[in-house]
Amino acid sequence: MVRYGMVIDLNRCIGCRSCAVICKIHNSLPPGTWWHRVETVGSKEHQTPSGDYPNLTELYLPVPCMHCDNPPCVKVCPVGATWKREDGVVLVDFERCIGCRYCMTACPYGVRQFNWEDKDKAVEKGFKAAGFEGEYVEGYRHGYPIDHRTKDGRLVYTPKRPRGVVEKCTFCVQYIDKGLKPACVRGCPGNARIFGDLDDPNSEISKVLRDGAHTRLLEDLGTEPKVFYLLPMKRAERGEVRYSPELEVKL
Amino acid sequence: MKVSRRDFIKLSAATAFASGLGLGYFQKSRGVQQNAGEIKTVRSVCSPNCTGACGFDALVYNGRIETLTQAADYPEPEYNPRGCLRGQSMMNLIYGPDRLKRPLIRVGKRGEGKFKAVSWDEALDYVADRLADIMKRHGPESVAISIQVPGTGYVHKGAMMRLASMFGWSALHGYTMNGDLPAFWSQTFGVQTEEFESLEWTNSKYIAIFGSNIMVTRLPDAKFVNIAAERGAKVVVVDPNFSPTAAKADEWVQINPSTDSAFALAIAREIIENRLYDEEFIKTYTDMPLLVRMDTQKRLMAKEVKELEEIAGKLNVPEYRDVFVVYDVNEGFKPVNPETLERDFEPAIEGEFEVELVDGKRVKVKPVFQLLKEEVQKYTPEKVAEIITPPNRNKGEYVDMIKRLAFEMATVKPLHIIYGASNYQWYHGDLKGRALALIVALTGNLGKSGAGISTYAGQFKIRWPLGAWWSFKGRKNKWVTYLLWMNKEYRQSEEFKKYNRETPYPKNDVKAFLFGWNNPFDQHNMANRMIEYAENGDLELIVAIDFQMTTSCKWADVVLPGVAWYEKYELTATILHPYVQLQQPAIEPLFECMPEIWIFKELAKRLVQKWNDEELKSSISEFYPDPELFDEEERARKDGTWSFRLARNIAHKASLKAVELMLKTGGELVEGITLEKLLKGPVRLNLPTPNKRQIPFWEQINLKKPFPPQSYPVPLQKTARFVKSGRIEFYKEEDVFIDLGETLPVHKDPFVDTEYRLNPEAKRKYRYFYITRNALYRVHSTHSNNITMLELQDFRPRVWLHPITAKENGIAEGDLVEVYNDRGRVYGYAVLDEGLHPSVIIFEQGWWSRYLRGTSYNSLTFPWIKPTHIVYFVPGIWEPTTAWNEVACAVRKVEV
Amino acid sequence: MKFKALVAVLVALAALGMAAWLYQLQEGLIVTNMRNPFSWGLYIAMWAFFVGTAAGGLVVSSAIYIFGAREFKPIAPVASTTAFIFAVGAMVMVLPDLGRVDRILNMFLYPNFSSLLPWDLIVLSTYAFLSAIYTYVLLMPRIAERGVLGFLKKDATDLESLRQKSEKYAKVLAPIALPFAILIHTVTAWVLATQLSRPWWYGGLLAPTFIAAAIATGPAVVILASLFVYGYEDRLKNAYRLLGKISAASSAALLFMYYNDFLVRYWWGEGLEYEALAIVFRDYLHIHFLEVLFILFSAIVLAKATTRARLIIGSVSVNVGVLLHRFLLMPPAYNVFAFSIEGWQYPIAVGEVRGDLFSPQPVFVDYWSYSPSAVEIAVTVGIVAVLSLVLLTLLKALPLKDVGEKA
Ligand SMILES: Nc1nc2c(c(=O)[nH]1)N[C@H]1C(S)=C(S)[C@@H](COP(=O)(O)OP(=O)(O)OC[C@H]3O[C@@H](n4cnc5c(=O)[nH]c(N)nc54)[C@H](O)[C@@H]3O)O[C@H]1N2
Ligand SMILES: Nc1nc2c(c(=O)[nH]1)N[C@H]1C(S)=C(S)[C@@H](COP(=O)(O)OP(=O)(O)OC[C@H]3O[C@@H](n4cnc5c(=O)[nH]c(N)nc54)[C@H](O)[C@@H]3O)O[C@H]1N2
Ligand code: SF4
Ligand code: SF4
Ligand code: SF4
Ligand code: SF4
Ligand code: SF4
Ligand SMILES: [Mo]
Repeated sequence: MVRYGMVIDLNRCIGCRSCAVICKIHNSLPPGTWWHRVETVGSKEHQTPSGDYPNLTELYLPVPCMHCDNPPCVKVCPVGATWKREDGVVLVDFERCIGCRYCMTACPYGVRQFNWEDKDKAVEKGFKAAGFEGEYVEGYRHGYPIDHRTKDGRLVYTPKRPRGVVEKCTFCVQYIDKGLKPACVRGCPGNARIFGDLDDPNSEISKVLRDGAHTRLLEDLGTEPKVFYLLPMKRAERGEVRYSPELEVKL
Repeated sequence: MKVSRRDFIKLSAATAFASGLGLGYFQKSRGVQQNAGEIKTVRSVCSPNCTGACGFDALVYNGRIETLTQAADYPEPEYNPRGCLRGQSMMNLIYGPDRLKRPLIRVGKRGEGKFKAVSWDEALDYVADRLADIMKRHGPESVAISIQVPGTGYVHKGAMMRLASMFGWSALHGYTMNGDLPAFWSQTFGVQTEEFESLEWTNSKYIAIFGSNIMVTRLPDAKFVNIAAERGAKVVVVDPNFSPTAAKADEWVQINPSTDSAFALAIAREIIENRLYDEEFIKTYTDMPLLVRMDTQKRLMAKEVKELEEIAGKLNVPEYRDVFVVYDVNEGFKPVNPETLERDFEPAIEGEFEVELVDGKRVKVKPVFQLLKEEVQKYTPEKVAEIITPPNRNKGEYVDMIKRLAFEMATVKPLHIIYGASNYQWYHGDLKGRALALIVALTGNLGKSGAGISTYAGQFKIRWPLGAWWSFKGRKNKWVTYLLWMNKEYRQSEEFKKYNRETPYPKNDVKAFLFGWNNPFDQHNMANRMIEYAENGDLELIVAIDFQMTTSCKWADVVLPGVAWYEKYELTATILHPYVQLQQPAIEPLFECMPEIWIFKELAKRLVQKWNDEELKSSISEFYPDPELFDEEERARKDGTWSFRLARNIAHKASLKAVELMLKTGGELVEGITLEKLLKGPVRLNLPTPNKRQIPFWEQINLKKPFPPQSYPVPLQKTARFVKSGRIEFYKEEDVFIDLGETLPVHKDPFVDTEYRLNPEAKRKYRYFYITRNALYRVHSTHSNNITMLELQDFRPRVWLHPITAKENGIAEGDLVEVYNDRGRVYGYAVLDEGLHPSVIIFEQGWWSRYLRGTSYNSLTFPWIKPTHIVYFVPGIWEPTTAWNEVACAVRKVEV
Repeated sequence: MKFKALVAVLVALAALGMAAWLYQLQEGLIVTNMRNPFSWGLYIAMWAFFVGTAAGGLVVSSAIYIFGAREFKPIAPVASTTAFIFAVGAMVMVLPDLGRVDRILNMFLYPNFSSLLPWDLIVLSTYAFLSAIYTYVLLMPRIAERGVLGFLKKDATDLESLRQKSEKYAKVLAPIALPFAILIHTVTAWVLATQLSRPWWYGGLLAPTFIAAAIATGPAVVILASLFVYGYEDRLKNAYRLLGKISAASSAALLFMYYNDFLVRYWWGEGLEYEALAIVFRDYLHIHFLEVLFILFSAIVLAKATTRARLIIGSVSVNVGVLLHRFLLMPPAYNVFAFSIEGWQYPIAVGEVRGDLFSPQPVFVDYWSYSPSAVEIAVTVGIVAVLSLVLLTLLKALPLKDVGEKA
C-alpha cells in the first residue's frame, strides 16, 4: 500500500509562495481562503527578517495540511466526514460534513478552512473589498474544473464549493489519483518539494529522508505528520534537481 | 442527505419567516462547470517584463483557462519547473475585472478615466487621422512609440517597430527608459549586456551578489544559487538592506547606499597590493598594459610614436579600431594589434616610461595598470571602511572584512559577480559596474564556465538579427532617448551642448506617444513629467495598447485592447535561459481584443492612405509577412464575410509567418530552429560554446577574438568603437571622462552631483535614500491588480523603514506614511525592518496609482542624465539611462 | 399582567431570534463574527453554559435521595424541569453553530465514537430524558390528584400508594441520573479539554471547573424557578438557603480552581499556557474582572441568602458571572494555539476579504479579536427566549404545587 508524504526542503525554499498560489488557483479557492500558507518564521511581514542585527534570519515555512498519521481532525469529526484514506491522505467528504468545525479546533496547524458563505459571494465580495469595480468576466472561476470522488464515491474535490462545510489541502487528490504530483510540488520553482510513497524504500522521498536531518512540525503532539521538513543547513551531497511531474507509484 | 434537507424545509416552513428568508440556503452556487466539457492543455510562455519567459501549460475547459502549470519541458531537467506565483495566477488578469473589452476613446478630461466604447474602425480611423495630422505638422519623428523588452515577443513588438519604421517615427528604447542598461558594459566591454544562463551559476565556487535580489527578481532561477551553495560555492550578498537573497547567503555585507564602487576598489587594491591578480589574463585580455600619455591623459597611439609610426601605418585596422602601444620588456615600445587577442608581446604593466612622439616631443607614459595601481591606492581598507560602514557599526570589523573578502574573491575560482539593476540604477551606476568588472578581470574570471560578471535586469538583448521583420522593407528604425524627453532642462543645458556628440532628439519634441507592453504613467512618469505633458497639451495624442485598464490607459486618448500571452502566437527569446519558445493561443481572445500584429497592420493600412508615400501605398499588403493574408482579410471585408474570428485566424497565421521569417533570416544562432520544432517545445539557441551554454565572452577568452562580441541589432563597428583597443577597457579617454575624473573606475558619493547640486537644501531636508525595489507579487505594475497577489500583501502598499528611522519620525508599525520630496509623494503602510539600512526607505514599485490614493512612487524620482552617457549614441547600448534610486526623501506619518 | 408582558417580550425576542437564524441560514455563518482563526464563538459558549445550568436537577435530587436533604423535596420537580429544559437547550444551542444543520441526521447515520461530540449528544439526551422521566415520576401523585382533563383522577388510597411509588421510583432514578448529570459536564468539558492544540483548554482541570460552574449555576436557576413558582415561602426558606450555600461554595471552588490554574500558568512565565493566560489579562481584563466580580459577589450574597432579594440578586449574578466565564473559554483558546514558534503564532487565512480600497484588512491573521455579531446575539437571545418561554409554560402548566396551595 502506498503511503503518501511530502518533503519540504527549507534550505531550498525561497519563500516565494508559488506553492500557496498554485494551490489556490488549482483548487479553486475563493479570495480569503488558503489551503497552503508560507510565512517567515517570527516576522510580522513575510520576507522581512526577524532577529536583531547582525543575527537576522528569514526562515520561510510553507505549511500545507500535514496529513497526520494520527490526525486529531479525524478523531474529532463527529460524523466521519473527515477521514484518513488507505493511502494516508486525510480528506473531507464535502457531502457529509455538517460544518461543526470541531476539526478546525482540533487541527494544531491551522490548515482547515471553512466556507463561511457561498463561494460566488465570497468572490464578488472579495473583489469589491479589494477596490475593484467588478469581478471576473461573466461567471469565470479558476481551478480544476471537474469533480473528483474517491473510489467509494465520496466527493472530495469540486470547484463548486458547498457552503457551510470545512475544506483543506487534499494532497491534490484529484491529481494524485491520476498519477500526477500535487500542484504545489509541480509548481515549486525552488525545487524544494518532494512528494511520494513513504512506504517504498526506493522512492525519492524515502531516500531523501533516510539521508539526513529532517523534522516535522509539532512532533511532540504526536500527530505524526507526513509532511517532513529538511532543516535549513548545507548538505554537500545534495545539489541535484529532483523534478518530475508524475508520481513514481504505479496506480 | 435528501431526507434531512426535506426535514429541514418542513421545520423552517413551520415558522412565519420561511418564505422570505432561509431559502437562499438551498440555492446552488452558480455553476461554471458541468462535468461535460473536454479538457485540453496548450503550452505557451509567460512573458511579462521580468523576462523570465517560463513555459506554461494552460488547462482549457469550455474555452477558458482554468489552471496554469509550469510546462517543465526544458531538456535540462535542472530548468524544470520554471515559473512563479505571478505566472500561475495570470488568469486573474486575463479574466479579471480590469480586462479591456472594446476599443475606447476618451470623453472626459485626460486622466479622468472617462471613455466611450467604440468600434475598431472608429478607433483606428481616429488614431490614424490624428497621427497623420501630427506627422504633417511636427514631422513623423514627433510620434514616439515604446514596446519594452523585445525578447518577450518578437512578433507583435516587431510589428509595432515595423509600423514605426514605415513612417520614420521615433522609438524610445525600453532598456534605458527602464534604467536597466548597465552603462559599464559598453564602457568596459563594448557590449550591450552579457550574462550567464542561470544554470551556469551552479558552476561557480564563489558568487558575489552586489545589490541584486535574485530570490525575488530572478525567481525561477533563484534555486541555482541554492544549488551552487549546496555544491560548495560561497555566496556573499553586498546590499545596504537585508533581502531574501541575503537570507540565503553565507554572508551578508551591509554597506552604505551606493558605495559599492569604493568597496570594489578596495578589493581591487588588496588584490593588486598582494599580487593576487592573474597577470597572464590582464596582459592578454585587458587594456592594462596599454600606455597612457601623462600630458593629455589620452592613450598613446602607435601612430603618435616616432619609432612606431611606420609599422602603425602598415597595420590595416578597421576605422573603429585604434592601434595602441605597450612597453615590451624585451623589445620596448610595441604596437598592439586590436584585431586579435593573441599576444605577441610581454608588456611591462608597471612603471613610467618616456616616449618620443612623431613631432619629437618626449612625453611620460604609464601603463593603465600602473595608473590603476596608483588610483586604487586611495582605497585603503581603512579609508573605504569610512565610506561604506553604516552608521553605528564597527569600522574596524569592516576593515578586516574587506581584506578577507578580497582574499577570498581573488583566490576562490570560478568567481561570478552579479551586479543588480537596483544597484546600477544610480547616477554613478556606471562607476560601480566598472569597479566590479575590475575584480573579475584582475582575477581572470571571465569567459569560463561559472566565471564572470552578469547583470540581470529586464533583458533587452536581441538574440539574433530581426531586421527582416522589425523594419518594413529595410526602412530604418529611429530612436530617441527617453530621458531627453523627460528632462527638457537638460536638453537646453550647457553640459548637454558641450558633451553631446550623437544623441538625437526630434526637433519638434514628442507630440504623440503610442505605447504597448508598458505602463509608463506609473512606471516612467519621473517627477510627474508625463502627466505634466499630458495635462498641458504638449502631448497631443496618447494611445495605449494593453489588455487591461492600467493607469496609463486611463491617461490615454485612445485605448486599443490587445491580448495576453495565451491568446496569440508569439516568439520569445529572453536571456536568463537560452531557449527560443513559442507562445500559442490557448483561448480565443476575449471580447473584441485583437492580437497586436493586427492592430498595427490596421493602423499602417489606414495611415498610408493619409501619408504621401507611394512606395508604402503600393506595398502595404506586405505588412503581413505573407501579402496574401493581408489580401484575404481585405477580400473578406469587401464581401461582408469579415468577422473577429476570421481576422484573428489570419493574424495568427501572419504571426507564424513572421516567426518563420525571423528564423529564416536570423543567421547561425537560429540555424536549424524551425517552427515545427518550436511547436513541440523549447529549443536552445546555437551558442558558439561547448554544449551551447551561455557563457559571456567565451569566444574572446578562448578563441582570442577581439572585444566586443556583436550586440544585435547594431552592426559591430557601431559598438566596437567603444573599445577601440579590442580589449576590456578600464581606461576611458573621451573628454568627458577626463573632465569628470572618471578615466579609471573611481568612487563618487551619491547625491553630490544630483540632488545636492539641484538643491543644496535637499541635504538637510531630505535625509533618506528612496529606493524603489521590485516586488515578489508583481512584475513592475503587471499583477498590481491580481487579486491573489493583493491578498498576499494584505492589499497594502508598504514602506519599509528601519526601526530607528521610524522612531526618528514618530512612525509605528502599520501606520500610513507619506514618503515625499519637493517633486512628489507616495503613500504606504509602514513596515519596520531591522535589516534595512537606517538611511534607506524602501517602496516596492509597481503599484497602480489607484492603490496609492492617486499618488505615484515615480513622482519623487528625477530624470538625471549623466554626461558620460552621451558620448556615443547607440540606442539601448550607449545612451543615457535612468537612475531610479538617486532620490533623496523624507517620511512622515499621515492621517487619511 | 406582568407575566403576560413577560411572555409577550419573550415571544418577540424568540421571533427575532428565529428571523436572525433564518437570515444566518440564508447568508451562511459569514454573518457571525467567527472566522477561520476563531471558529467557535458565542453559540458554543452558550452550549457550555446551558449544560451547566442544567445541573440544578442533579443537585436537588441527589441532595434529597443521596444526601438526605429533605427540605428540597418540594422544589424537586421544578429542579428537574429546569434540568430538562437546559439539557435540551444545550443541544439546541449547537444547531445554529452548524454550517449544515440540514445534515444533522448524519450524527445518527454516521456517528464517529472517537469524537466526543456524539458522546456528548448521548449523555445530554439521556440526561434530558431522565430529567423528564424524573419530573414525571415526581409529579405522578399530583397529576393523579388533579386528573388530566377530568380523567386519571385517583382517590385518596390510590394516591397514597402512588405517592409511595413516586417516592420509590425517584429513589431509583436519582442514582441513575446522577452519573449522567456529572457526565454532561465532564463530556462537554472533554470536548474541549482533549484538544492538545488549545493550551487554554487542554488538561484535566477543565472538567472539574465545568462541574463547579454547573453546581454554581444549576442551584441558582432552581432558586429562580422556584421563586417564580412558589414565591419566597417560609417552608422553602431552608431549601433556598441551602441551595444558595451550595452555589456559593461551588462558586468559591470554581474561583479557586480558576486561579489555581492561573497560578500554574503564570508561574512558568512563558510558553503557550502563559500566553493564553496573558490574553485574558491583556485583552479581556474587563470581562475577566466582571466575571470574577459577579461570581464572587454571588458567592457572598448566596452564602447567607436570607431574603428574597438576596436570592434573586445572587442567583442572577452567578449566572451572569458564569456566562462571562463561558465566553472567556474562547478567545485565549483560539488566539493561542499549538502552532506557535517562540511566541510567534503562525497566521491563518481569515476566510474572507475585508475592508475596502483605502482601509484594507489582512487576510492572514495571528489574532482574531472576537465579539459576537448582532446576528449571533439575536439568535442566542432568541434561543434563550424560547427556552424561557417553554420553561415558564411548563412551570405554569405542570402541577408543581400541592392541591390547595394557591396559585
Ligand atoms: N518579482 C519581480 N522580478 C523581477 C521584476 C519585477 O518587477 N518583479 N522586474 C525585472 C526587472 S525589469 C528588473 S530591472 C530586475 C531588477 O532586479 P534587481 O536589481 O534585483 O531589483 P531590486 O529588487 O530593485 O533591487 C535589488 C536590491 O538592490 C539593493 N540596492 C539598492 N541600491 C543599492 C546599492 O547602492 N548598492 C547595493 N549593493 N545594493 C543596492 C536593494 O536593497 C535590493 O535589495 O528584476 C526583474 N525581475
Ligand atoms: N521608481 C521606479 N520605477 C521603475 C523601476 C524602479 O525600480 N523604480 N523599475 C523600472 C524598470 S527596471 C522597468 S523594467 C520598468 C517596467 O515598467 P513597464 O515596462 O511599464 O512594465 P509593466 O508595469 O509591467 O507594464 C507592462 C504592461 O504591458 C501590458 N502587457 C503585458 N503583456 C502584454 C501583451 O502581450 N500585449 C499588450 N498589449 N500589453 C501587454 C501589461 O498589462 C502591463 O500593463 O519600470 C521602471 N520603473
Ligand atoms: S514554491 Fe517552493 S520555494 Fe516557493 S515558497 Fe513554496 S516551497 Fe518554498
Ligand atoms: S494537519 Fe490538521 S487537518 Fe491536516 S491531518 Fe493533521 S490535524 Fe488534520
Ligand atoms: S466540520 Fe465537518 S469535517 Fe469538521 S469535524 Fe465537523 S463534520 Fe467533521
Ligand atoms: S498538495 Fe495540493 S492541496 Fe495540498 S497544498 Fe499542495 S497544492 Fe494545495
Ligand atoms: S512572471 Fe516571470 S518569472 Fe513568473 S512565471 Fe511569468 S515569466 Fe516566469
Ligand atoms: Mo527592468
